[in-house]
Amino acid sequence: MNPVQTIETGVAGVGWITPLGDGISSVLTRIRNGTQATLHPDPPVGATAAPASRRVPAELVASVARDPRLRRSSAISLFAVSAARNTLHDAGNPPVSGSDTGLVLAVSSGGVVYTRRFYEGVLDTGPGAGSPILFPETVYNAPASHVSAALGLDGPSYTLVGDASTGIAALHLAARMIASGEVGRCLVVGTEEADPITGIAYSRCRLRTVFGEGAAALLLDPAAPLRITVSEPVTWFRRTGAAAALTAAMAPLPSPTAAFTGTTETALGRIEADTVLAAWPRTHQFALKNFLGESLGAAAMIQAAAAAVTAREAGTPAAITSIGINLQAGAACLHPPHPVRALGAD
Amino acid sequence: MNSGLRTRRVAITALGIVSPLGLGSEQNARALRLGTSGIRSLTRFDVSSCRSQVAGLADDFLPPPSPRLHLASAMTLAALAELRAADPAFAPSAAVIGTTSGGMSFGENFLRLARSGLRDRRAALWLANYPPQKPALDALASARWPIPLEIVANACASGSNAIGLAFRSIRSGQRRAVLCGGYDVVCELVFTGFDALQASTPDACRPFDRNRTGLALGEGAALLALEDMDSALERRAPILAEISGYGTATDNHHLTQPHPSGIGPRRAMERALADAALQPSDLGYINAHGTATPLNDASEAAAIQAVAPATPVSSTKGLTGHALGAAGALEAVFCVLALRDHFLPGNPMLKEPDPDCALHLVPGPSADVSIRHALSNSFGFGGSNASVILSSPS
Repeated sequence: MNPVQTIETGVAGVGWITPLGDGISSVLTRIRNGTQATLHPDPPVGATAAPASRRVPAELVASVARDPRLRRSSAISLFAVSAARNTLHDAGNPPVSGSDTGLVLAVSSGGVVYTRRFYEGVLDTGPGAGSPILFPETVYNAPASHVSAALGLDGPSYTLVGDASTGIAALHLAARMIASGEVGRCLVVGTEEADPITGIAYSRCRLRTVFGEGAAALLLDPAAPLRITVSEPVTWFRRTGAAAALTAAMAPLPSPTAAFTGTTETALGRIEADTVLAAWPRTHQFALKNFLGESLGAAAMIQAAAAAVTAREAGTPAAITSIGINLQAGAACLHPPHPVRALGAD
Repeated sequence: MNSGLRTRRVAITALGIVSPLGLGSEQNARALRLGTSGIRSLTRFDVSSCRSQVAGLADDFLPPPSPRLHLASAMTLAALAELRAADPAFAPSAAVIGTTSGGMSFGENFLRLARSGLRDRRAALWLANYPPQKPALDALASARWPIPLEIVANACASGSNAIGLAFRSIRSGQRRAVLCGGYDVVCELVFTGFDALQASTPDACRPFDRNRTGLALGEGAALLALEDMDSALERRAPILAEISGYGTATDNHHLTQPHPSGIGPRRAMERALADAALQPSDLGYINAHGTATPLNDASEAAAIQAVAPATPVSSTKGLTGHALGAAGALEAVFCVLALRDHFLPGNPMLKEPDPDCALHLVPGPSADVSIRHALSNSFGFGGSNASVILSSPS
């Protein structure tokens, strides 16, 4: 495998909204104390029971939901706008309107709630009776559109769709856009909403996964002191290649003090945990999905937000890793600008 | 605009296409010249109560896909086969592909199954092949290219956005060669969705016609091999055309409706021209987004009138339907074919030009004209606007 290329830029702000709340430090404290987000029973889909999932409390998006542009939007867009606003607040509310700020948004299932409801309406009432209110919000880039409108962005906007590693691909794309001079800075958002059909789908595939939802965002700015180095995602075709792909993605990164992994109680999750342990044996691993649920397109960005705050507060590197179910692996490291001592190099 | 962005030329060394006009470049070129429509009655699912009963379909041009493969994968693999046959030495270091729904019909199957409470051994297959990135991954696996993959889902601008991202990454020196393009398949959910918006036509798709009544959906897959020009020349790769410029703009007016002034499309075209260091008078042809909806055509016409009022314009969606995430890629290929074969696709479905869309519309099925530069527009839900400029190799 060829050496994986990396790209570095700065992180000026970070924000999120999760089933445990929207304050990053406070949520991480709760997680360190062992608090898991509450499991909410999900309704069945027709005659099929759905597993429970971890949901973002409705009160966290109540104010955003009153925005005229968003009052008919699905939760995925509310999460994205909330996380974006939290991020800008963290960055000191820099002016971002205009074409010099790009937007890259990562999703996986996208507007699955409205997609299911729309198609169920078609099945129940006939092909000619679909809801014109639900359908527009089913497009993958609806959240990006609402974020752009809410923040007054006019620059390049891209929605990337994929698996749980897509947030890392989004970070890499955003960093490339900055490096090429296409934009001066870039907001990267990962967002996802839970729906019973997703849980049913994974359980049919015998994947023991508790789903969550939420969003997280980073404002990338080359002038910011907190740095992020992102490895280009690595594609693999057979499960036997997953570990090698992640190892390759991790190889060029500085050894972190902490790693926020995408680990879950699945075979791929165990491969990821073992691979991180092998490459970074002294690194503390944090599997956020055990506390917040699997949030697919939002997952890697939630991990990145946690790593960013950890690196910022501790002054030591914090990494993220992900092996996506659809055959890509990725890694990134959040670190201070000064040269990093390798762990144990006394 | 940062002048550092313009450092390398980007060649198109090969392409592959499956569309309602046919399998492969030559069938598509012939159909474009003759103005042969690929839009026909839709029998894939029940549309008897829908506003529209037609679509541009591509499945007839392929052997029936194995049950394990979604039609989107089958089309993408067919397009890749043509591309690799034309340039066997093409070795991309990344792939950027656009789509809006991927294997959505498999998702529909699964939802129906879940509602019924029944079991079906095909369920795992549907779930594995439903994600929008799966056809692209199938293509990469077939070519044994374990390269980074970005799937762009910017609604109907996805294909052009994918091409633009690939172009930018090569021109800035970040990548040497990139596979790009788009795919989408007509599925019940999306078809009924456009029907619910009353955006689809109850009769024929007539872009820029005074009596246009809406769009016809379409499907297809198109891939382009982009490479740094110096690298392509060094290995004596065929040079079909080059990408000269790319422009994007976000229109925050409404989730599904463009601003009536056409400000989003206008900015995208202006930025593409600036990016290519070209004047509007340098353009020999505009392949319009031209969906035949009242709103799109009016807003796009306003934009073209403001930017390049004298440039010949046509919309090939009158023949193919609107292939959503694949549209920008299909139409980029059409532009390459036009440059190569010295013709302009016409507007064969046009009966009476809309006087409010006062454009220099290419009459009839096609026109024999040699041009140097062509611009392709793609505009989508969410205010996504993208314009790509393709040029004959100098």
